[in-house]
Amino acid sequence: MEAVKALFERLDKVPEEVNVNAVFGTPETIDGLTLIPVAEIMYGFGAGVGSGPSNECDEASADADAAEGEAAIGAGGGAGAKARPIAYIAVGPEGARVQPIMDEQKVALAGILLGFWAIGWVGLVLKTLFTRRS
Amino acid sequence: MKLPEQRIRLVAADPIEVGTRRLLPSVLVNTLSLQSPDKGTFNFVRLRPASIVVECESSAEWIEIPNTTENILSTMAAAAAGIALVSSLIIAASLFLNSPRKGR
Repeated sequence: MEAVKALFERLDKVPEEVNVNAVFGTPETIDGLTLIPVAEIMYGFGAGVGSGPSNECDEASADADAAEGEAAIGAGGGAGAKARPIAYIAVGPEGARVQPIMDEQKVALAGILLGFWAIGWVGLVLKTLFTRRS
Repeated sequence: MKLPEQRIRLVAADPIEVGTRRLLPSVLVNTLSLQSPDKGTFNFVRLRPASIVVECESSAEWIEIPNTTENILSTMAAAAAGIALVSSLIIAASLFLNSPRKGR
């Protein structure tokens, strides 16, 4: 149990040690133009622990186990990370400019969903307007 | 029940030297965390580039780094909400005007 608590304390410190420099990539110079990739980074992790009597069927032995410090312990955790390019910075002789990068697939999917949503609502409105009450 | 704690900070990243120019980037750090040593813990961190300041020998320029995809999706979500609101109002008005009145 102490090892699990130590692990949690270690995990809790990770956000404080986040390296914000990971957002900006290594500059690359091509034909006198320096390009710096810029990304959005997301990550998360979680862990949990629980304990209980080693034998739930027999309360007497469970109490005895708890008294002897033999309670069962279960723990689990998971983590994930995602990085997505959102722009690049181009630095040339005339100056620096930011060129955004659009996620076309996501925008197209959202546009299709919005189209269906609009068609559904317009259909509902037309049905309400042109349906005569009996 | 303990609620997650959210912190939003603007952090300056290391300067990037490009020729005679010096780029000073800044990053928006959004942290969502719940810490319970006895039960468990979770942390979610989002690092989003905010802007850069381009310093030359004689001048400095501030450039925002836009998240185009997120802006478009937000606009679409607002449009969807607007369509639903206007349609609901039209339907409600239609039902109100066509409803049989008392005493008729």
